[in-house]
Amino acid sequence: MHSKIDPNEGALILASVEGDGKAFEALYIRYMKAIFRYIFFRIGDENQAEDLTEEVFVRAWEALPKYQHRKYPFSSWLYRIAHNLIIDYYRMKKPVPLSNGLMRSYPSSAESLDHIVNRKHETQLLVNAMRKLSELEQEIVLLRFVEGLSHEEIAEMVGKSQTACRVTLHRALKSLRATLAKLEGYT
Amino acid sequence: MMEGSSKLDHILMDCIQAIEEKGWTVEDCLYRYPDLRHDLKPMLEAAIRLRNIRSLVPSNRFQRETLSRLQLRLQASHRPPKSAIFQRGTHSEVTTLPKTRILPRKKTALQWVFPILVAAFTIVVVAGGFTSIANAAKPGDVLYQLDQTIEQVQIQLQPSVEKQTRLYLSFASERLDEIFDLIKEQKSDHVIIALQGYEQNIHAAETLLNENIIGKEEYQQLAVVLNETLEAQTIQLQELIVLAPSSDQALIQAAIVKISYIRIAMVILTPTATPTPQVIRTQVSPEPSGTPGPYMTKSARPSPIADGTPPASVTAITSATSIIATVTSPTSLASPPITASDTPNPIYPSDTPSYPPSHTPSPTPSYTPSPTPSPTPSHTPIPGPDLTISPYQWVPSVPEGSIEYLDFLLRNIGTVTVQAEYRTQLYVDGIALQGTDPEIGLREGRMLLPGETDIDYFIWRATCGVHKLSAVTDVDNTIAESNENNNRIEDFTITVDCGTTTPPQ
Repeated sequence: MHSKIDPNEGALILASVEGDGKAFEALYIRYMKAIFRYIFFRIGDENQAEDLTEEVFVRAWEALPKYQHRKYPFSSWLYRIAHNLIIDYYRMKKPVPLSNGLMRSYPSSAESLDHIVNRKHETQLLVNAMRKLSELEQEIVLLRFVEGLSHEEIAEMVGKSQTACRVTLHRALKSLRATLAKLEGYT
Repeated sequence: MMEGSSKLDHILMDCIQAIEEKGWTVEDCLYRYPDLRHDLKPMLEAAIRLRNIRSLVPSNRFQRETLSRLQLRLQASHRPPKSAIFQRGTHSEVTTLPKTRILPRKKTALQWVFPILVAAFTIVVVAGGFTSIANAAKPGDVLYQLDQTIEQVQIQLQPSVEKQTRLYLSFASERLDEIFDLIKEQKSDHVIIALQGYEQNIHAAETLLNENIIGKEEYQQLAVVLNETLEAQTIQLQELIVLAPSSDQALIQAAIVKISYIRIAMVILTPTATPTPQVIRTQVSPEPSGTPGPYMTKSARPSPIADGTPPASVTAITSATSIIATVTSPTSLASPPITASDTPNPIYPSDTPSYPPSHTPSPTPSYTPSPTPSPTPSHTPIPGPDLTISPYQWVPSVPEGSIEYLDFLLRNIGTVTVQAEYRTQLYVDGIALQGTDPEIGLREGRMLLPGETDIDYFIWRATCGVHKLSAVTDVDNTIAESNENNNRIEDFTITVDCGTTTPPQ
């Protein structure tokens, strides 16, 4: 996940603002997986996460003329759109149970079934544990450890101070570990 | 507290880095910071587990198709992308971004200088005798860049949108031929470049068409040319999949999907959309004898560019459904365009899910384009939702134990939205696949607007033997459809070779 604006990304953004669909596709390829992961861990359903990922980019495309690239990193802007969409998603419907489609991307001939099952199990556990955290905790944990954003970027995105973000993060990690242990039957 | 949280965070990140890059264990870290063990241990364990799932990616299907879908959605958005005239490079690698792309596309006062300069350049190049040499260049050849430049110049020099569109299609065709040559010469590294060039030309032709002359008289004729070209090129791409090394097959497959979406979009965008009187073949069937196989030699391939006159074999714009059918069925791809009638009236999928093999194409089908196609279809669909299902590139033989993605297309050919309250079930030898991990035999349907198509898939682990696969959409009969008889994929025979590990040829 690229969080800093580099000159090439700036060019892509400018070209996209001008209406260049191909430039936007390049941005999409660059950020699609990160946005997908972010959404997936917030809603726990792969199908819905894929749909919402596309929706994020369609909305971004439509709103691009209003985007101020000197003010916010493009990635932060995308996460913000994704965040709003997730809120809309929960308003419109109750969280879906983890479906049998979860992690269906893993089956491949190159990977053993045991590996697939283990990875799926691990992901499912983490998604379940994440859902026990508050919304803010989920967001900060994901942005920090799954997407690798800095505290500065996270603080800007969630509208809190960096210190507050750190404290929330540490608390969330401990809570997550405790929940995982509980789910795994160690306590 | 500020200092404490900052210090702890710093140590936490150091530990994570050491674990990931230097092979430390959690205990190694805790040993280094005994005073922080109590706080650090749970945080580190949770963080490491989170970091380990960063490789999570969307499904293969999503990744395969999402760009095509996004392009369609952008086209339909409030802010459709502008012309792709200048989009001959690739953005996939940002470092290759040409500077021209970020220039505003507004016409400048000196824009007239460009055609003159390029014309002069072309004359010089032609005079130097390089053109023909460069024209034969393929990706990887020294003169390939020159070939690309000359093509760009040629396009700029065209006096009309029509001629530009045709030239784009012609260049797309050249790229396909280059792919054949590259594969033949076992230069698969360069296939992706040629394939990108192909897609860019097609995309440019489509965009040019839609932005400039949609709704005008000449659009219809050009749309036919584009559609026919894409149809022929789909056949070529199918051939390429067979010939290409496995590393390139997914890319070619993605190109086929993109083409199908472009053709569907054309139908949607065409104001006088006149679904063709093609027989809808939604089932992959054994190849009838006498029809050319999908693996034709290069010389036997149909001409990828229509001659510009109203087509002799097919009419106007193909309906989205028949496009899907064309993409779906290797047999129909390889067969000449099938016509059931000579009039450009719309037809809709047959009421019965099985399609009799009596649709022998006329060897010399005649077609006279109607300048004012009848706005009233001869076959008006009965009001209501109407789901259809068809397989998407199912293969007749697979190795034992392989995990097969059985893609299928769902389309609402009715006049009312199909709500997302239906399910689609896969049957193997008549038995419903229960969905035991990692197999998935039952899929929840999505909402489909009238005319909308969705692609979904089952996952099936191939077991030894010959099997009959079938599928039924709206299996619980929750949707009151205007036609309930087209919800089924009839028995598709698939042979799973016992003991083989590679797909049989």
